[in-house]
Amino acid sequence: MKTLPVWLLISLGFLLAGCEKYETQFEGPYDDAANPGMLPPSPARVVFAQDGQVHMLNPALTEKKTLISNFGEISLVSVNYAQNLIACKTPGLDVHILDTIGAIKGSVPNTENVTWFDWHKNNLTLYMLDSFTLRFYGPTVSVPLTNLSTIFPANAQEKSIPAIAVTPNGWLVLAYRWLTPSLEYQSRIRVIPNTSSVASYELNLTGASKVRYIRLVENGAVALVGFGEPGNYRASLINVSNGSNAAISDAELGAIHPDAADAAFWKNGKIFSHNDNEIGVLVGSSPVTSMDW
Amino acid sequence: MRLTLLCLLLLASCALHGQSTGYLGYRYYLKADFGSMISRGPTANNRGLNGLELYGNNKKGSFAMNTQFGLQAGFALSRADVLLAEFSQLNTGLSTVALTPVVNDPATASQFDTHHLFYNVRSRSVGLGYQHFLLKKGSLAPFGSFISFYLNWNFAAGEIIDKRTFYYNSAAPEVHAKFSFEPKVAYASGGIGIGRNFILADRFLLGFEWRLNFPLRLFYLYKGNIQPHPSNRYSRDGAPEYNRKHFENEAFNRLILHNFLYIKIGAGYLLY
Repeated sequence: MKTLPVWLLISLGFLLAGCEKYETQFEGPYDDAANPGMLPPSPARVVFAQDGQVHMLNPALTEKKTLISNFGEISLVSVNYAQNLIACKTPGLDVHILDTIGAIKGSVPNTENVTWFDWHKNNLTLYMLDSFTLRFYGPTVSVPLTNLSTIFPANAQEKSIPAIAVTPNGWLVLAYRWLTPSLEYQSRIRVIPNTSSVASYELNLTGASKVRYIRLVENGAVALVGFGEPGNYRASLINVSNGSNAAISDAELGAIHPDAADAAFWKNGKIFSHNDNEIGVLVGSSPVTSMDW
Repeated sequence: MRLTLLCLLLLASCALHGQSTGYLGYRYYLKADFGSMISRGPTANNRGLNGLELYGNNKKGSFAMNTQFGLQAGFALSRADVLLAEFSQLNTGLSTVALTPVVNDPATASQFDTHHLFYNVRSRSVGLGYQHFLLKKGSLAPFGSFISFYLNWNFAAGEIIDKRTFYYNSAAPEVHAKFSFEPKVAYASGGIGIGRNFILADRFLLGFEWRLNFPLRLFYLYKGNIQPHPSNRYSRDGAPEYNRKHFENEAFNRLILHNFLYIKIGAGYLLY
């Protein structure tokens, strides 16, 4: 008990020290939850199909991981802008939906004849091309027409629509090709606005090239269109609102970043960045059958 | 003969009484305590002995104390041993940095805004302890001098109480991306201490203890960060993860420093 007063004195000293309140120096308290919706961009990753497998690249385009394997031939793959759903297609089978882990979430019934699909900006709707009909899986999107056979001339033969894209506001960007009565192929890109106040327009593809893919950026302002034949491939950027365009690559297959800041192309066994061709991943000599970003 | 038996009986009763557990038979007690030690800073009010580099300015530190409040519930297992459960809470300060991708200017969307943040970090701890009272120094649990050992689980969460953002494009509207992470960290820690409990009037006790705490997640100190390199636009997707890990590392380091050494003073009551 003799030491008790000393202990009490020490205690009092400590109790009294450092009791001032914090003085705000700059912006003061911050609540992240109250920050009005300025979310960082979702991680955008390239997804591609090769050898019956679906792979995903990291955002830096330096590594790949395999999501599913032994899926048979995969003709088409597409990832939504939220990067949480992937659709893939094996010829003759229904479209399958995967998550980015590679787990199969389900399949879309009666889609064995679908030849093209992609995700709408709402991240929930998969629009599909079934013969000449535009179909939707998920919430329906308002578009100017779904029966696309009406766009061909009356006497057209060998009609085909290899790819289509639907912009966030329902405009259609589609590629179509046919044989004229004079036995000449015609291949065009048509943009059909979702309003009568804007006229639709067409772009002619030189040499009636076959379109291989159309990929839209997230806001729908720019489309990457790939076309051509072996030894003569092209990829062009098209300004959807006015049709201005420019060729940017001779790669066989490509995909565009959702914010249009870059594109990825597959050529000579490598998937690489358009901005910096040195950045990329060697994927081997097997054909990449489809890719999306 | 009768006298002999009586003496033996008295001796036996005295011995039995001397061996009974607890001070005057009281084995259970509750104690509220306050812990404090000179802070290298920053404290919750941004004081501390070291020179603080808050917002890029070298501020001279000031004298301040790390503090902690707690509650202990003890049970005397024997004359020398006490088992206890404890809860404590501390508030400390943390000055750190976070990065977010530019969202106010599409032309510079591959760059980062830099945020200097001052957090108040509240750490709550639950734990078990063992105190061994030194019988040779006249102790009788829970009274007298003791050595102690503790095992604690600490759960901390941060709250930003001051912030200064440096926008990559200062001419654009002053909006930035969310940090998009929960500023939390949890870890286990161990403790050792020496102390003394004084018995005041009747059932009241007053306790003092020197307490040393150390983290059990030693490897956590070297946990790597994901570095979003500003020159690589693809890495911006990793910003929330970078911010989370950076906070975890910084908060963890700050907490173990804040928690490292304490003088604890407590007032308690012997229940029964």
